[in-house]
Amino acid sequence: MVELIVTLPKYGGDAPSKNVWSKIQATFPELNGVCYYMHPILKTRSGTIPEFTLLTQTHQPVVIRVLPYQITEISNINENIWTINNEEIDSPIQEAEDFVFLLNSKFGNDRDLRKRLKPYCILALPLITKKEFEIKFSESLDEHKVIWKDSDISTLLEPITPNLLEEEWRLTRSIIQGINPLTKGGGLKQRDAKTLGDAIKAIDSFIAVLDDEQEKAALQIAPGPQRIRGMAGTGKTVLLAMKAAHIHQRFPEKKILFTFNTQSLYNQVQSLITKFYRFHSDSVPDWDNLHIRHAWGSSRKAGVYYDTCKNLGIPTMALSQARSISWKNPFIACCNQVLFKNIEPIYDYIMVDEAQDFPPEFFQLLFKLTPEPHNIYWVYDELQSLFGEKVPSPEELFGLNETGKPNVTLEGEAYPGGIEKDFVLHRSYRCSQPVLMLAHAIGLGFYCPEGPVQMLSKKESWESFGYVIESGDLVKDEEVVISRPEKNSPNPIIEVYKGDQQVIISETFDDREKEFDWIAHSIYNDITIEKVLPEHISVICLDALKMKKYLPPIQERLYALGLHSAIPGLVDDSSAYAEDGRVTLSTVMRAKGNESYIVYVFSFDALYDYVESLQNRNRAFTALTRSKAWVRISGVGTGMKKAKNEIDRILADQPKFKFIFPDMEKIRDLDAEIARRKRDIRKARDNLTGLTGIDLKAIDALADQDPELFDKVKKMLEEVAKKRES
Amino acid sequence: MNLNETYQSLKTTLLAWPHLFVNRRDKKDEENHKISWSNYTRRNLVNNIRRSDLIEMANTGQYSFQMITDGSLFQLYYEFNNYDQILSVANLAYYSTGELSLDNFQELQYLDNCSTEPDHAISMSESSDCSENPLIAWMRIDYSPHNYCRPLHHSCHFHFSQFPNARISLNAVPSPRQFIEFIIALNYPHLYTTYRLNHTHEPNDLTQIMTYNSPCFPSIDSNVYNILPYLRIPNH
Repeated sequence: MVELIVTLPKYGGDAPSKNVWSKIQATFPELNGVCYYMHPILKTRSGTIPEFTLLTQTHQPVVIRVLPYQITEISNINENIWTINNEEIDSPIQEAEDFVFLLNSKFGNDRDLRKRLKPYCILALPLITKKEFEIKFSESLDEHKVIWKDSDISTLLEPITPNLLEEEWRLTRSIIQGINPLTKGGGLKQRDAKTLGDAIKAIDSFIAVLDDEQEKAALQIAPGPQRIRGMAGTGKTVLLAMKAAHIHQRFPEKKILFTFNTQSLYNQVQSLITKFYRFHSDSVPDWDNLHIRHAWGSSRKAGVYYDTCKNLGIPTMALSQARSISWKNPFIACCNQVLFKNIEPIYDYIMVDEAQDFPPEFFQLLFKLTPEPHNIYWVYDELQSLFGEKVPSPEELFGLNETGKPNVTLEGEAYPGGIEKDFVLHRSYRCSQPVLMLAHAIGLGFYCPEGPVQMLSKKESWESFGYVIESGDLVKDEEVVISRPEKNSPNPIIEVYKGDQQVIISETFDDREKEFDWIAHSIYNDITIEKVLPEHISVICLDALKMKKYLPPIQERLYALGLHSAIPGLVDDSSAYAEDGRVTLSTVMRAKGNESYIVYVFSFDALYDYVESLQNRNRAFTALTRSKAWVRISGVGTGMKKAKNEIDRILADQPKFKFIFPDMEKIRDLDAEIARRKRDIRKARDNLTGLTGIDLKAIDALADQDPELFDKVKKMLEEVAKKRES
Repeated sequence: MNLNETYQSLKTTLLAWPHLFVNRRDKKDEENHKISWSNYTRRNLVNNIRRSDLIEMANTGQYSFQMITDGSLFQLYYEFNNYDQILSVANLAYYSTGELSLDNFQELQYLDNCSTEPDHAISMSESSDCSENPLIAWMRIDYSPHNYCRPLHHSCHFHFSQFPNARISLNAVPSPRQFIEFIIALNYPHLYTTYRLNHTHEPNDLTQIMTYNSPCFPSIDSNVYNILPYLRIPNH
């Protein structure tokens, strides 16, 4: 089957093109591949884009130019000019040659494809018969491939002999998708890597290809708001950058905004957009029309809020002032400062990365910055919904208009051409299946002795995370079995690495010093024996409060072994994460948005912390999902023994989850339970602190007066001490 | 002190303060007879250093090591001649982030966990005017024997932020050990108290502490010490 990817909504009303596409489908039902409607990369100097670009593994690439005219509309044709409806246009035949030249130049950069692919163009005149044309112009177009109203097209496609090999097909798709600039090597050459380092090199050389969902998300230009959801590793930022580059390519005069929340994303986004843009145009984007802006901005760096204030001629709010209005979220105060002013819509398209990090007030500001039909595309990390937070609806984000109706809704039919309003990316590329499933199971606590701490309670939610419910209903006390199809975790590590190292290792130690020793020696082994580059390794501290206590001794141990490392972000979050030649030592927070081939998550015993367990499960999820290949988990004492037991049970059931569905009410009460625990600790601290200030003679006297109370306190303390010793 | 002794002094000092210094980039460059740091770039030494400059220094690795407590930067640069035996240039600097300490670290972590606070804080701090990109506090000791030993510009002098004309003469260039102990005593008194003083705030081991001043660089011969107050680097 050939998947038709419609990039513009005008396909909905383009009957001649639909007619041509139906004819192709009917004539070649066995054909497999992809066909693009108005792919932006093939654009002539006069701005014409061919209607179809058809690629298959079995036939040569074809560009199809559809001319939607009746014979009466064409009055004259010559070598350079056709006159249609009294207007002179570039000869479609010459345009066709331009398309072929453009396509050839794309594939011609690769030595192998250069020899194998011979793109050609087909003219389609679906409203004219061959005879009508020849009578009117006394000229046949026999030397060209043409689809006539009445022609048989069964011989129009030219086979490739032999068919494209899998790697050649990947490369062909990668080039046409424009994702090729992200490919570091020339394709997957080594499949049986025996060392971790060789496996990493092999994965690095893997040809980048978008899957069908990603391709649509990147190429389609929705005529109105669009939400793209996906979990970590689904490629959200890359796709959005690609979308921006494509829109800029297609509509260079339009104003585009790309905005985000994390400062350090700026360079990454700029570099991605430039790469994608340059791949198709040999020039750099026009940054006057394509704005990459942090949501806030500053006097030294433009930003959405800062620019808006500047345009309105009002001063920006200082942090202290914004905090005095909204301590927890000062950005809301900033947005509110400008929201009710007369904001000019200045952007034709807005792309919002990390949408989950923004308050509704920012979306309402963006709404005002775009004219109708408000082409705002926002990508949302599903992580929040995984941990029980409701994904805010577009109605909540964009607010209501004067008549009380939502400014934005994603309800109803798709946009014309079948362009989705709400997109879900199901496949996670960063993590291998075992690691991702472990992260989900730990994060939600499926195998936690006290039962899950979070739960997806709807079938659709599980599906949006790429899971399938095999058996059981999602109701209290029901045993459920959930699996993850391999296709939804297409990370190639298991296919590539054939050495002895397990993907997931967990270790328990008696004390922290031994844990640190193990981490340092294991990293030493990774670098010296397994030939892994230091920058491909991250060490993440799960226990957030002890990071400054734990990371220096690990760094010292590495140093003593002759290995360099870096703790990024001590001064500022914009610092580089994986510095060349250095192992990265990090907190979970700092590791967010970054990835490494090998991830060590230590102090994992914090998973069973009395009050922080819920938070630490969220952190564990984030830490584990930083891994592009292997994870090494360690911790100490009884907390780690419990965690290891949980990990072993999860791994034993993979690739499935089997658990008893929890009482959702109980899960909703967990926050209250944690608050109670925090209160109890405070109470215990206050009481014991009070006790330490009392004269021992007074306690002695109390023991005489109330021996029962004294014994009770004594027993309690002894029990805790005994437990701690064991 | 020669090149090797100086570098040895640096290494032992970093180990002597347990788990306090991180992100070491210090380097002994035998070919160029100096102690500096990885990817060392020579820069003009300026007086007005803002937070954005500090961030740039941190992000481009222009430092010898950082304090784990607050990310403050140390730069230790010593250059030798005559077969690594004679010190020819020294620049020893400390740049304070002036923000965190062990005491408020927990609070910061709490904020860290609540949201992407640091990003916001920085963007906002930059968002109004220059005062939101504040001048940061720093201290620096410069030594260049080519400079005359004049009262107002001694060959070895101590500089600190916000006083561009203040150059306090020193009688000797501090060794790495002396400089680091000095900075910790001045800027992290709680740490100095914990590791060097007893409960009455007297040295916990005077004999041991005095050994930190040996080996050391020789005293500089100058009349300036008879004219104006100066800083005396202990040398035995």
